[in-house]
Amino acid sequence: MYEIRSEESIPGWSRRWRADAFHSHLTGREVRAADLSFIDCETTGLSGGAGTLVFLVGVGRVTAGRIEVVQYLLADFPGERDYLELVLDQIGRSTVWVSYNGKAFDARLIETRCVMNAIAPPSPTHIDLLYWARRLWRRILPDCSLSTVESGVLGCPRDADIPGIEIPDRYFEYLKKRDAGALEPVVEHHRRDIASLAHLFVTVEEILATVAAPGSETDGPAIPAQRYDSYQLGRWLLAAGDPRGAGLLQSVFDRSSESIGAEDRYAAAYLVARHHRRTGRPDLAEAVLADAWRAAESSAWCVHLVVEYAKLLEHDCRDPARALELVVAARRLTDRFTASGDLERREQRLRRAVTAREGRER
Amino acid sequence: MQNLEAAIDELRHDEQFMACVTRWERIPARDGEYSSLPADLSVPLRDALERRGVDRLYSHQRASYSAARERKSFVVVTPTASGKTLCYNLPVLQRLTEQPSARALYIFPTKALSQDQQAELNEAAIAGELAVKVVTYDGDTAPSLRASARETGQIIITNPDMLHTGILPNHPKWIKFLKQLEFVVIDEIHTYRGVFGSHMANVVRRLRRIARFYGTDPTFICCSATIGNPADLAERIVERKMLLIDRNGSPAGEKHLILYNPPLVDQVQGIRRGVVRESRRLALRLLRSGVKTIVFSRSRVRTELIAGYINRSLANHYNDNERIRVEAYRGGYLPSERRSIERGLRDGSIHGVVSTNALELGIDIGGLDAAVLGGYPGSIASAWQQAGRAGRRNTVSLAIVVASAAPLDQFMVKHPEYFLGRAPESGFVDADNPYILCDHLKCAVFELPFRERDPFPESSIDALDYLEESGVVRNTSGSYYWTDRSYPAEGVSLRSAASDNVVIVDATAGRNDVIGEMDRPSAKEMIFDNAIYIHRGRQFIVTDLDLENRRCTVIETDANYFTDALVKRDIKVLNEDQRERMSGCDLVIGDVLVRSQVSKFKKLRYETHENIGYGDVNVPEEEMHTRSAILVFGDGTDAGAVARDLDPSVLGPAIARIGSLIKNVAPVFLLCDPGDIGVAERLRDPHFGCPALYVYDSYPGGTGLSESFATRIEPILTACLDLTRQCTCEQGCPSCVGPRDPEEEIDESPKAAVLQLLDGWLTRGR
Repeated sequence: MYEIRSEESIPGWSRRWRADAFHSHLTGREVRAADLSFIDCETTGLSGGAGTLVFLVGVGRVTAGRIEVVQYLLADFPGERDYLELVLDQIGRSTVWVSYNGKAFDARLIETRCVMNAIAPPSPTHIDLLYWARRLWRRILPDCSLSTVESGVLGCPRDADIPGIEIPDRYFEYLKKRDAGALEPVVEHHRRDIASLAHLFVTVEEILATVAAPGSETDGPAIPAQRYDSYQLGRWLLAAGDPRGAGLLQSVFDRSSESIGAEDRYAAAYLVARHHRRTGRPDLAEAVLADAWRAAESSAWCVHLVVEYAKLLEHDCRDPARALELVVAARRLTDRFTASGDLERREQRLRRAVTAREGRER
Repeated sequence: MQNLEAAIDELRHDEQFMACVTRWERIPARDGEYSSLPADLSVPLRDALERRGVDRLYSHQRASYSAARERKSFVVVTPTASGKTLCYNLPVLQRLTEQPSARALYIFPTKALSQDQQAELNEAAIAGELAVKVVTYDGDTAPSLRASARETGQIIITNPDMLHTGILPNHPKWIKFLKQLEFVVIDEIHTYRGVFGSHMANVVRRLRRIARFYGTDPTFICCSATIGNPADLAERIVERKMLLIDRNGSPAGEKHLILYNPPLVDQVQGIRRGVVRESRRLALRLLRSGVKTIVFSRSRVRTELIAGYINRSLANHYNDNERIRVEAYRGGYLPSERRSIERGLRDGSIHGVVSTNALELGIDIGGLDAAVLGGYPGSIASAWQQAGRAGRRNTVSLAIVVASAAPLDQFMVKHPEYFLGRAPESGFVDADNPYILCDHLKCAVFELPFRERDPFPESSIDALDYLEESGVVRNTSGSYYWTDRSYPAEGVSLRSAASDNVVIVDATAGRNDVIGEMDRPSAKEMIFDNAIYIHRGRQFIVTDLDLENRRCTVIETDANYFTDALVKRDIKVLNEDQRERMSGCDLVIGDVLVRSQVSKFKKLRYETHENIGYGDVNVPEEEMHTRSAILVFGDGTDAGAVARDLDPSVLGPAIARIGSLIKNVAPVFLLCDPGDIGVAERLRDPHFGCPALYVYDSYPGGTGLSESFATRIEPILTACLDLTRQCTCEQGCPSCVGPRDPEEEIDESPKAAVLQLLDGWLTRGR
């Protein structure tokens, strides 16, 4: 086994965290920088399976804004078992792994290798930044490969990088000829991947921090909001039971900037209103819906918003008469361009409800 | 079964029919042999069985149970309807009630079979509330269900292809299953013959190797139809000692087996009524008497033709087609269509079915009364299995073998004692075939570094060294490691062409429905542009065969013809491995490249099958690298000397006719299907510089048939000569060397020419 060490600074890290321990939004708890392991593997094949080996594992640790990357190279196949044990010891089994697509790929491969070498597989806490990249940039970037994120988000495009598909053959060539030169571009590529992980980590943390404290300035220049998909992020946070999502989505609706699509704004309003209804704040829900449904006049969302609003009026505010008024008004507006059978049925039902109530009151 | 008994009686008194019968064999009913349920059977399992009305076992089921309990690997020979599934389900379920963490792997040759199997097992599991989890794991299993299947499935049902490409290469994901693997069931083991069997034997080697890695050594339970060498075949595939359980304890009703040679329509040329027409006539007669009938036919096109003709004969709007429903059944149908036909046969709503050998396998279609075999299926074992599709436990049944004009059919129907007296064929497997072995060694090295050779043969080391030279494996510190970025199992197909199917899409009137599929080589010969494709009686014309995207677009049509491709084959010697003078010729064994090209097709009118035109076909040629045994009529050989005395215009056709004789006779000696071998003759072979006759393996890479042919050349040629001599025709007929063909311009009869060549050649040396 060979070890390759290198060090570099991570842009933005020290700006964000001065202390060694800090609150991480990605993990939802206090972490020590030393407990984060930025991990990436290079393998002898891309399709997985028992015959695909991990030949290069790298782990990065950040201290005082600088990352130290240690890359472990498997010298030859027969040493795999010792290699794995040593590498896992070095990474430490209790650290938090941070990877890019590592949940589906790297961690599964390490598991496979452990099974084949009769070593207990590790079971770390694992933050896979690919999922975050997809949430934040899938609709903004052409794809979510790490190199696209690097150039499109981190602002540091790579040049002269080896294509991933050539990597296995470089290793086989190295094994055959024992010429470390063949591996140089692979090692460099791998090192860059790990440094980028840390850079991406702090970037995502920073975005989450702005969400956590909307309006408040972070201790550095804030990341411009249009650089990530606040609708998708808000939606995800809300689905994950995080109330910060509602605030973010509210801001999506409030902002009528050109960078946010109209459909996203109405969808955001809908989600926010539902959230408020569910959490027992019909007043807040009404405030959103009253504005939103008229704004959405020419969108398919209009019907959803009206239905939501009508439900709110009928069930939460116990005022079917107002609900009926709303539906009648909405139908006048929307029947021209939407198939609002929904509204028609609702109108009939509300009429019966209103008549029944009037009957009781009389 | 009064309908059938009446129908049999009627046939027996029908002089025209009886004139064509060369043998009417009555196989008496057989009583069952029973045994009590095993004493150690768990109470829930016993209760479950008793609830299903099973309070005793057939003797072979009991013997299977005992063997499995003693962890003896065994093969049980099970004719149709002999309660096969209980032979393995009983010991496996018993083990699972004792030890729920135990695991069993069931391997069925096809996906269709595994689904049937699961239905049957679920029945047992649910009925008995045994809470045994049975899971099908094949290409159709949704990815989201796979992880839980691996984790919790106690019985996993799969097929060899999935085991090969999905399970073994990913064995670390299967650790929990493999660590507890106690039983491996290989059903329908008789289907693993020839190339497919050689592949299967290597997949089993890989499975045993991986099982050993996880510390398990499962017991193998194999089930076979009646073949000549069930124990030997199972031992060749599993490569361990197998106990043979072949005493069948299930009862069977009386069976009538009739060998039928269609009447001659041209005495001089020896032309008989065609097998399609006769099968249809006989099936109709039975169906109209209320007899549930299955017709087996030898090709997909014939299956559709016969079903179509039967339905056309029945078509009558006023009586609802006499309330008789007949379906075609073959490979290439959608699974849902197959399921619905199978269901219809079981519940009795379908009265007749015309099938390729697809229904010969153990798919449960319930009991039918009669089987019509449209042509001898090429092997005694298949013939009995197809005949066995008719008949239930206690009722009389009928099977009629309708001979075609093919020499092999004529031989069988004219020699009933040969047909009836002959033991079913043996299965032939060559697990050490270098091509197949090499492919599986790649997979094995990928799965686990190769250190201990066992269970692979000695020759593996040479193969591995060869693989190292090509760079895909690396030998270091006494082990071979996989050093290629590919996933080798993906490049190895266990079947000749199953892996890349062409999807057939119906685009009539803007539709875009997948109606079927076909393997690529067959597609080139059957669904080329302008071909007629028949699917469950509906006709389509091919508008576009897009081989690159594996898509064939068809639209519905009502043409009055079907199409038949003219295939040209070309053969080239790549290298000679062996040359030996034997049986009066030089026999060469070597690698050849066989190319086939469809350039034209015939349009044949329905019913009459007359040729009403030709069309051009534009598809790329199909190439196959294979093995061949080549009979070279060289200088100084007896064959060469006799050939030189013949006029070249006579010699060419004579050699070609010997080729077709060999193709039709050799299967009996080589224990293969006629489709497994191809023949080609050359009057002046460019490689050998003299006349030559190629007998080659029809599977890529070869299966050892060429080598086997070489050791049996003498009896095969003698049988060809005897068949020709004994034939009563004057000038040659479809039963021997083939009828006279005016285009050959042979002055004398082709029969005389073949006899002169073959007789002179074989008797010179004696």
